[in-house]
Amino acid sequence: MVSNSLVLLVLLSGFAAATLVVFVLVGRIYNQLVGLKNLAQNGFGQIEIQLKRRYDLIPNLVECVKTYLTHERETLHAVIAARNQASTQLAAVNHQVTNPQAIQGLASAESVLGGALSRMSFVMESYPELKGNEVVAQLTEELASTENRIAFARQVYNDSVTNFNVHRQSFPTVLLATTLGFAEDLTLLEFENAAALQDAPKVAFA
Amino acid sequence: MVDFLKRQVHALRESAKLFFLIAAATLGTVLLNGIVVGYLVAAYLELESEGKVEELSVFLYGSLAGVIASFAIVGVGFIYSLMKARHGGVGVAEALGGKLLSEIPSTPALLRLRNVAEEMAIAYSLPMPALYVLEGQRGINAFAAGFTPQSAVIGVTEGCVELLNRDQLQGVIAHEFSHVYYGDMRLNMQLTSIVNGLRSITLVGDALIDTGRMELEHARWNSHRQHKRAGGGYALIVLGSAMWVVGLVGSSFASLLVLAVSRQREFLADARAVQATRNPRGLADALRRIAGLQVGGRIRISAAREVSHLMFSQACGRSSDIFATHPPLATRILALDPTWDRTPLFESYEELSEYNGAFGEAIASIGGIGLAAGTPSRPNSRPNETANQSEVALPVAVHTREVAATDENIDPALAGFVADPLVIHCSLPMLMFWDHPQRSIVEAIFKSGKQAEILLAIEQLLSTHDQLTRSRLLNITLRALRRATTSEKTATLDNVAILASQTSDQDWDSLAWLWLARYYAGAEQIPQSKPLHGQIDQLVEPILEVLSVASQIDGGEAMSEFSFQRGWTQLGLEHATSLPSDVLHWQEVLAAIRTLACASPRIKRDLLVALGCTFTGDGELSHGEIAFLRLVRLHLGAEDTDLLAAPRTQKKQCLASTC
Repeated sequence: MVSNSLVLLVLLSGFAAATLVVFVLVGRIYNQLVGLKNLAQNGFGQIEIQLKRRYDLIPNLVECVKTYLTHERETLHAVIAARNQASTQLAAVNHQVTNPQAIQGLASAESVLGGALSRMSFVMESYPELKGNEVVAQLTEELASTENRIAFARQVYNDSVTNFNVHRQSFPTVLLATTLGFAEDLTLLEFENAAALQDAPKVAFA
Repeated sequence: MVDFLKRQVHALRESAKLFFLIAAATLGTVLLNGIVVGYLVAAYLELESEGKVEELSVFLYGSLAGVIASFAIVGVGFIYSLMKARHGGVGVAEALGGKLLSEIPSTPALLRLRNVAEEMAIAYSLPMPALYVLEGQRGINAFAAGFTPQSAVIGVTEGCVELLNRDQLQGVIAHEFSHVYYGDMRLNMQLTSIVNGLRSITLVGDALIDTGRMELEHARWNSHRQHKRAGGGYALIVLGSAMWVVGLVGSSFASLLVLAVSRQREFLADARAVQATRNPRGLADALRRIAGLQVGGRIRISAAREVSHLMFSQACGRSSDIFATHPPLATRILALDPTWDRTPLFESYEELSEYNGAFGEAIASIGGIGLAAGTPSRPNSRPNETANQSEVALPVAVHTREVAATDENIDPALAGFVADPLVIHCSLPMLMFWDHPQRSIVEAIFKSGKQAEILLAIEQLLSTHDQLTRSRLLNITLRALRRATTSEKTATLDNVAILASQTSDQDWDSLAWLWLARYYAGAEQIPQSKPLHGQIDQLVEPILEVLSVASQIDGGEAMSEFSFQRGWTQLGLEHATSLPSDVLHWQEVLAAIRTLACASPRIKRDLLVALGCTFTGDGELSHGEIAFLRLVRLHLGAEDTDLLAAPRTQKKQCLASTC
């Protein structure tokens, strides 16, 4: 009799130990996923801050150059329109890193804005008196810096997204990821400026 | 594409090896010190008790006690040093005379600096550090300080803000962020504290020596009965000296290792910076910019020495030895850009001429013309700018570095054949015209008979050797010509005359070589010139002619004006442009050189400097340039040397020693 209850005790404690181990392991996997996802989300937050900064700078710059570029009203309008569109898209994304549609929308709006901006700076090149304007120079520097910040923030974000995705897809995490609520990969953020850049301003001979 | 991630792994592995060595050095010093102490104590006790104690156990216990004591000393020294160094980054920045950059910078350049730093903070995902500017420091340098990313500061010199463009500045700032990222400041402080810990063994040794001395003094003053006390005094001095030596050796060795770690961390930071900026060009250009600057990265403040390991580039001292905190600039640039052509970056003519002034001085000082080398003689030179000439290498070094050939390196059989007086009339023209577009005119002279065979043999022999060996052979042959018999000289002169008749009047380097051949054959004399002590302004015409010719040798139209200006700006004369080749004629040029031979030694020297600068526009002395330079030097009264045989010390890497 004694031996029977002893066996039971051993079995029970073995089971308890195994449960504990599984619990700890699952907990670790879950915590890692949460940590990595938050890191990526934080990275995206940084991009959002810089994008907002950019959207705030653009109207200021347009306001400043408007008096010089009286014949380029179309270009300026395009910049403002693209800026407004991108701003709306950013609001739509609303910190949702896992929503691929919203991110795609933002990316394409950003592409359009990038194209419009590069056209504007192309036009500005042909107005030497703009370069002498201190405020314009300062705004241009700020805008250039912001573009860099966006690029670097995107780099950091994409690195952390890749990190998360690799971790999610590797063994043993892949077995549990869906059950734990991490069914989706995060989306990399790419702004494709290439198409818009090729669309150079037309030169008209009057 | 260079794999910069692999670079980082490599640098980390290298520093791990060095950590191991430092640990071994520390442990070794402590053990050695313990054993020495144990041995000395045992020996002393045995002496005192006249053999009554058990020697071995005293030695063992003594050693153990010694090791424990040494550990304690090193430990206390380490901790003390660590505590003392905990003043954080702000302290370092202020010690260097840095000024905190405000949130809203006042000038566009400072605004750019703040923006670049904020961009990098994002790229590294680090908090934005406080920024400091070292005003009045014209060198290009930067530093990071502080023991945690939260308390880190980054400082840059004014030169860094003013002289670098945005990409270059980004590279520099990224490099500093890498130091913050890898915690290099704390690492370095810990390593330095270990060295200080080892050094405290020396301090204890010092203290023991002092105590021993005092004991001796006491013994001497208080009569002769205190023999025992005197013996103890001697023992203490011996013990102290032993500890002093062990501590010094150990700490010196460790500090060399710490410097090696510091150099590895620089490579690491460079590689990490490229990973962050995705732009090796910016960082490489910043380093090239330092190379092109006379002050380089030096910081003229005494406190800089203590934090030189935190800097972007070598802040003081030289960077080519084991005491350097940074690897040589050239090594760092080549690591970033393996295809680098070893040219620095310059901003302006003025900077260029400062840099090349040093090159020209080096050329002028070989077998000098009676003025002490390094005497600042240019009217526009400021005193401190010529101070570092000796550190600047001859630009020929780029080519001759690997070979470093002297005449001894040349096969005596080859030299003997080519310089045989009987074949000189054949070999000399061949050597002079080897790379000449009209080499065929040499071949045309020796169309027939035995001469053609000799020529063929020489051609075959020479074609297997490189340009440098041919230059050496040419020099040997010229010297052999001087010793040749009259008939052999005549044969050579005949051939030289034929060649001269077929050479165009503007083929300067060929004409110069032919002149040298005639000179060595005794057919040309250098007229004795009476020195006229006039001003350089009276010699503008001949100088203009000579420098114009010099700039046309071995360079296209586009380069020649550039080369000319390099030389002309050295002389402090009014602005001028070079003369076109069609208004110049060889005889007039020779006449101009003879006029210049009458100038004062100081002007001659300046002229040689200018000439050197003109020739080194492309970073090396070519075959034709050497001929013209030798010709001018002969006329100016300098001894004729094979310019390739410049002192070995000046032939180190072109840039390694400038910064």
